[in-house]
Formats: sequence, structure tokens, C-alpha cells
Amino acid sequence: MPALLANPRFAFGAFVLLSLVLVAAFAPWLAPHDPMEQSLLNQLLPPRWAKGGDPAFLLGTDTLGRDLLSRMIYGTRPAILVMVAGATLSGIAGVVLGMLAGFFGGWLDALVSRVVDTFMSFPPMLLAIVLAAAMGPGLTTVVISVVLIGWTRFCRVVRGEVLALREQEFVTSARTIGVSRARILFHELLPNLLPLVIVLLGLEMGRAIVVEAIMSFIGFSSSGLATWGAIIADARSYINQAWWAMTYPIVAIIVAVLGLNALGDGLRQATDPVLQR
Amino acid sequence: MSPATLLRRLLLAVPTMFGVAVVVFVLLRVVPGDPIAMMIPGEATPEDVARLRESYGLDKSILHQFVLYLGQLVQGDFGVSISLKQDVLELVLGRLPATLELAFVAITLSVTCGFALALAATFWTGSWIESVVDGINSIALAIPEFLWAMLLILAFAVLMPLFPISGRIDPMRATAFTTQFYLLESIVRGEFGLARELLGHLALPAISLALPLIAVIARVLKSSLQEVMVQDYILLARVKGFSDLRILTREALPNALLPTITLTGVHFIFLVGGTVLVELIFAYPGIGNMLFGAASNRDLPLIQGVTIVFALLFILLNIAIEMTYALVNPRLRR
Amino acid sequence: MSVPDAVPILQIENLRVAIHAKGKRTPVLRGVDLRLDPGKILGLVGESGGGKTMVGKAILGVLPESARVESGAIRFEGRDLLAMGANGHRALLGRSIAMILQNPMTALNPAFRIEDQVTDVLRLHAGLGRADARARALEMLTAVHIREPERVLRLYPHELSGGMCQRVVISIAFSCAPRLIIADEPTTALDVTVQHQILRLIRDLQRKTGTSVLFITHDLGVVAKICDSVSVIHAGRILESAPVAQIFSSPQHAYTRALMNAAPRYDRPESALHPVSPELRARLEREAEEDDRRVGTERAHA
Repeated sequence: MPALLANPRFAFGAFVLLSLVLVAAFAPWLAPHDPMEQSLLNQLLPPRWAKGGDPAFLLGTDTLGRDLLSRMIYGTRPAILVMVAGATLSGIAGVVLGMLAGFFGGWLDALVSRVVDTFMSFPPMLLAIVLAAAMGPGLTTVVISVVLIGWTRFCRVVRGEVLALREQEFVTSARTIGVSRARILFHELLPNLLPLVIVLLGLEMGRAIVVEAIMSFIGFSSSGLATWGAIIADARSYINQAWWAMTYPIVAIIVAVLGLNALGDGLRQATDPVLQR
Repeated sequence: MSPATLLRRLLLAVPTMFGVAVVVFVLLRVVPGDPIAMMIPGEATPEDVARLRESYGLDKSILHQFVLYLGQLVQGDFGVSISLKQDVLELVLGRLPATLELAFVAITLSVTCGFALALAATFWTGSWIESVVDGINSIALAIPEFLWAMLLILAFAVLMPLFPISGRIDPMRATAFTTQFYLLESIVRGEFGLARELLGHLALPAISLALPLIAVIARVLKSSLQEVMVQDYILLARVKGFSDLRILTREALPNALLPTITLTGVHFIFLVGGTVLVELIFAYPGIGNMLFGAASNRDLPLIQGVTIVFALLFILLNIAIEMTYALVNPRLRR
Repeated sequence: MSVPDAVPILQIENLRVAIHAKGKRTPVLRGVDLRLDPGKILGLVGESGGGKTMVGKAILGVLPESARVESGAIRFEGRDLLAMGANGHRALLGRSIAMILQNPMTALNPAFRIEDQVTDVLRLHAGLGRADARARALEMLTAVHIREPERVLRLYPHELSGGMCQRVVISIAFSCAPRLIIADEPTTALDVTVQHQILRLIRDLQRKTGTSVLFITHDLGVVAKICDSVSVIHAGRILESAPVAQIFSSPQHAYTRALMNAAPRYDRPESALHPVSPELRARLEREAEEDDRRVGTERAHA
């Protein structure tokens, strides 16, 4: 554990994740304004330090007079929701199917592999869009999109690992003693898979944030809600008058993705016995 | 790759295509939302609605629809677009060349830049050049295409208006073309001014698409090259008296290509998939862009058509990658 | 016996090489002296890790990145290679100095046909055109006793056996008529029967062309078969140098004697194996350390 904290990548990633969670949790107290509050008087104000800026609106306002800082702060909430829910569900689906396919082999494996191939034949955004077209916009749609796009990654990796682990002694000896296959799956294989899965989760959370941003950018996420993607979409339309509005969410997403990737990397470095030298 | 293997690959693609067709069909129908309702003007009578529904085959049972759907697909009939009222296949084929040109330019950009970076980093290994390349790669990999597109828009719309940020070409000039392959046609006809303008519009979307792939290629190829450079046959080449540059490009590079192709192949497919979003962001009129309109309008036949064409593109790209691999690998050539 | 005042083709004087890695200095060659006369074969014998390969690499100028030449000279035909600069050094490679590597299967580039790999040297150094180079390549392959050379030219290295690969490597080494060839354990990776053929091949070619050979090996049997003189190396120090007959009849250094005793006797299979004794090793290690200390103080005072 201490080795984990000392790893600079993990530390950075954990810091980012923690900050996001805290900001999202305490958003109502942190945000100076209501993110939805429009004000025709204060349209397109530049940030506080620029000429014409208003100290009440630290980061400036958008075309409807809404405070950008508050919108950014509240934007962490849908981001965290999609990130955690999407990555977790995606992980569960992928790990379960991957374990079953790898362990039992045969027709089950063939079937799952076909399904994985089929899903991977779709451009990821295409799946999301088709789904949104069918289900209508909303955070649920986004979460399901994340799951549909991401589960194959977990499935492939876990299946490969299980195929390798299956032949190892601790599994074959468990079989000879007569341990039921379900027990083997849960008690023997799963603990060995966990480090890998946790690393993948970190990466998947980063991807989930991007999917959410894209979906709200397109307009398939919850309309009106202050999400980072929506801020980008709005800002695009008035980019020539207020270019700064687009930079905040872009920077925020980049930092979040870099942080979550670093988290995954750090975890992998700390848990991979080969790299521990 | 022999014709027999090629044929076998194509045939193996059929079940995957079938799977794709099933998924699209299911996704679109097992859901709330009535496309017909969206098209009807308020004063239409229930009989009109029923007749319209019948003409699209949406009044039959799901299973019946599916069978019909498959039958039509196999004959190449993708139906008629609900929102655009034209034959889906025609619509898709009409916009496909634009996407193909974008993908082609992006892939060419990726390969040339990726190779250049990897070769430079290996030639000057251990120096600041290699560190810079590594740094560029890490950043390019971490930031997804969507954000690169946004950053590029910021940079070139506001800070430095060097490239246009939307469209394919000035609509007036579009009439000068006979095929939909604008770039190809303008080059073939020698109209380089036109070609340059087209490339200007392609620049930002292509760069957004290319950046992640450049990073992947640069990283994998560099690592491959460094592994090759410590091999005995490189030592022998050095002892033969060849220059470092020649050793890197003539002796090492062909050997480093194989593992690179294996590892980066899938990313080319991601690039083509990324056109969906990038076309929307830059208002580039390809099939990716058309998908969004279709999705907003719940235009089932059009959505199906575009999805299947994309799946086909991926499969063909996969086969192309395998063929390239077979060509480069001397053990497979005989 | 060589004429005492003939110019040796290769003369190494007090060569010191050390590896500088992670802030530590590890000596590899501790003042190596070698002499190879024109037209002769010098055997450089020692166990693995004794520094013999490093000598070869120093001569060729292909020492690893972390290795530093600290002092000494490597005179090739009188000119110090170390003082020459990289370009001057490289100009000699291939044309005047060539190499035969240990593992023939990895010495050839898997991506190219044999023809490309044999002719490229000829085209680089001898300026031959494609057709001429090909003709010469056929001659060379025949000279190394490869049957059906036309067929072999079209093949890729993975389609050849170890012995055939080594013949190709040898033909590449001899192709530009170099005056010096460094042969680094050329038979170690081959089957015993093939070893014998390759050794004979090297010796025959050497006699025909008058090339001088530095033959690096750990195998005394090989040395006995083809070398004219021998230098014994251990821990980067030359312990003994003498003509081959003398080395085998009356070895001077204890280590040399120990090496000979350590070799399994095929004619007396029941006799025990005698590895080099721990006492001898300890003594040699101490001598090496003393040498390091002495050099260290010299450097400190320099």
C-alpha cells in the first residue's frame, strides 16, 4: 500500500479523482451561483482578471448570462455519475462474460467471442448514437452507451487472463480435489483478476467522461443540465465572441482523463510483479 | 495472401455482418419512439398514418420485419430513408467518398508523421529528441480525438485563422465535380488550386483523427526499432561498414514493421470509426455526419444503412491489414 | 616463426576498457597486449566473461554505449584505430577488417534474401554493379562449399541450416578480401560435425587469401587445430602469449595449465573432470583487483 502512494502517477490520479468527487459532493456550497440562473444583464462576461470582468463571475458568463464557474462545478456531478456507474457496470458485464467464456470454453466461448467481434465492428460513437436515437436523450442513455462501448475491453482482457490462469496448478489442483466450478471462479480466479480489472476500471472511467462529454456535446445527454460537454457545445456557437468559455471544460476533461489514466498506470506499476524491481 | 485465403476471410466476415445487422435491427425496434409519428403533419388522418406505416413495413410483426429486412439486405436493397425520402443505398454511396477521402488523408498523415517521429527518436536515441518524441506521444495518446478537435478549433478559429473549421468546400465550387471524390478528381485533373482548397478543409478534421494514431505508431515503431537495433544482424551490418542512417532505414526498419503492424492495426479501424464524431464537429459532409441527422430523426433505414456500411469498411480494413502483414513477412510470402 | 621485426598487422598495447553505468566503473579489459602477425591466426582463449569478445568489439569500434576506452592503442597496420575518429574507423570496416559472428542464425537479416546480404558489401566497397556482384557472390558461395549456390541466393535466412548460414557469414567476411578478420566463437553454436567442417573451411580460406585472423574462442581443441599462436585472457588480463606448439607442450601460467586440464578427455572418458581450482581463481581475482587499485591511484594522481 505505501508503495502505491509513493508512486507519483497513482498519487496524481488519486488526487484528481478525489478532487472531482469532493467538488461534485459539495457543489451546492462551492458554486457561487445557480448554474441555471440566466441574466440578460451579464451576458458573455470575460473572466475576472480580464478587462470588463466582474468579480462576481470568476470565470465569466455564457451567452445566457449563466455563471461559468458554477456550471463547471456542477458539471462534475453528471461526470462522476457516468464515470462511476458506467465504468462499474461495464466492468461487471465484461468481467463476468470474460470469465465464463475463458473458463468454460467451447460453444460459450465461441458465442461470446462472436458477440465481442460484432460489437467491435461498430465505431464506438455509432453505437452511442444509435442507442440515443432509440432511447432518447438522458443520462441513462449515456451510461448504457458507456457500458455497450466499454464491456468488450474488459471481456477480451479477462478472457485472455482466464485462459492463461486456467491451466495453472492452483486451478487444476482445485479441480482434482473436487471444488465446484463456481467456487473456483469466485475464490480462485477472481482474486487473481482483480488487480488487472481495477487498472482497467481506472482507464474506463477516463473514457466514460469523454463519452459523456461527446454525448452532451451532440445533445443526446440530458438537455439543460450543466455538463462539461454541453458547455463546450454552447461555447462553440459563440466561439468568436468568447473563446475562453470553451477552454475551461476542455482543460477540465483533459486533466480528468490524464488523471484517471495516471491512476490506472500507477496501479498497474504498483501491482505488476514484473515491473516491481 | 493467396486468393483462397482472401476468399475465406471475406466469407468469415459474413457472420459478423449478420451480427451487426441483428444488433442494429434490435436496437432500433425494441425501443420507444415512433418514427412515423415524427414525420406526420398534424392534420393527417389515421388512415394516412396507417398507409404510411404499411409502406415502410412497420405494421408487420417484428419477426416478419426482420426476415423482410434480411432478404432486402442480401439483395442490396437498404430501403428508403424516412427523413430524406431517397433510396438509402444511393444516399450512403453519395456521401461515402467524402468520408473515404478524409480517412485516407488522416491515415497517410498518421503513417508519415508516426514513422518520422519513431525514426528520429531511434536515430538520436538517448538525446533530448527522444524525450521530446516520448512527451509528444504521451500527450497525444492521453487526449481523445474529440478534445483534439476542440483544441484545434480553438487554435485555428480564434487564435490563428489558418484553416477553415467547417465544411468540405465552398458550395459554389462543388458543382465543378463529376464524381464525389473531390480531392482525387481535382488532382487527376491537375487543378491544384482546387485541391489545395480541399486540403485546407480536410486539414483540421484529418489532424484530429490522426493525432492518436500518430502517437500509437510512433510509440510502437520506436520500441520495435530499439529491439531490432540490438540484434546480431545489425552488428554485422555495422561491421560491413554501412552508415548508421542506412542501417536504421534499410536493415532495421523492415524487421520492425511486422510487430508494428500487428499492434497498430486495430487503431486504424478506430480512426475510421472516429470520422463519425469528427465529421459532426467540423460539419464535414460524409456518412458520419449523415448518421447524426438520421439519428435525430429516428430514420431507421438510413441508420441501418450507414451502420452496415461502416461495419463493412471495418471488415475490409481488417483484411487489408492482414494482407499487408502477409506481404511484409518473408516467412509468409512463399 | 615470424621475422622479429616484421610489422604486425594488429598490435594492441595496454588496452584498458571499462563500463561506466549507474555511476559505477567496472573494468573489462585491464591492460591487454596482443600481437598478430600478417597471414597468421591468433587464438584468443579464455572462459566466458573473460573479456575476449570485448577485445574484438574494441578493434571493430562497436563497443557498447556504456563502454569507455580509458587508455591504450590498437594498431592496425601501424595506425592507431582509437586515434582515428569514427569515420576513419568505419572506412576500414568491411573492406579491410571483417567479422564472423557466433550465432549464424541471428547474424543474417531475416527480412532479406541471401543474395542481397552477400552482394551489398560488394556493391558498397568494390563498387560492383548488380550483375557483377551477383557473379562474385556465386563465386564466394562456391568457395565456401555451398552446393546449388543459385538456389541459395534466392532463399531467406530462415530457410537455411545453421551450418549453411555460417558459411554465408564466412563468405561475406572474406568477400572484400579483408586483411584482418575477427572470428568470435564461429563454431560454438554449431553441431560438432559441422564445427569441424567450418574450422577447416576457415583455415583453407585463410591460407588461400593470406588474411590474418583473430580467433576468439573458449575451446582449446579448436585452438590446437588451426591457430598459429595463442593468447590466454582472464578477467581482462592477458596471462600468457606464445606460439601454439609451445603453449600446449609447456604452458607457463597456472591458469593455462588449469584450462588444459579442465578440458574433458574424450580418449580417457573415465578420468575425472578438473575445473579451475578455487584457489587459482581467488589468486587471479586478487591480482586483478591490485591492478585496478594501481590504475585507480595512477588516475587519481594524473
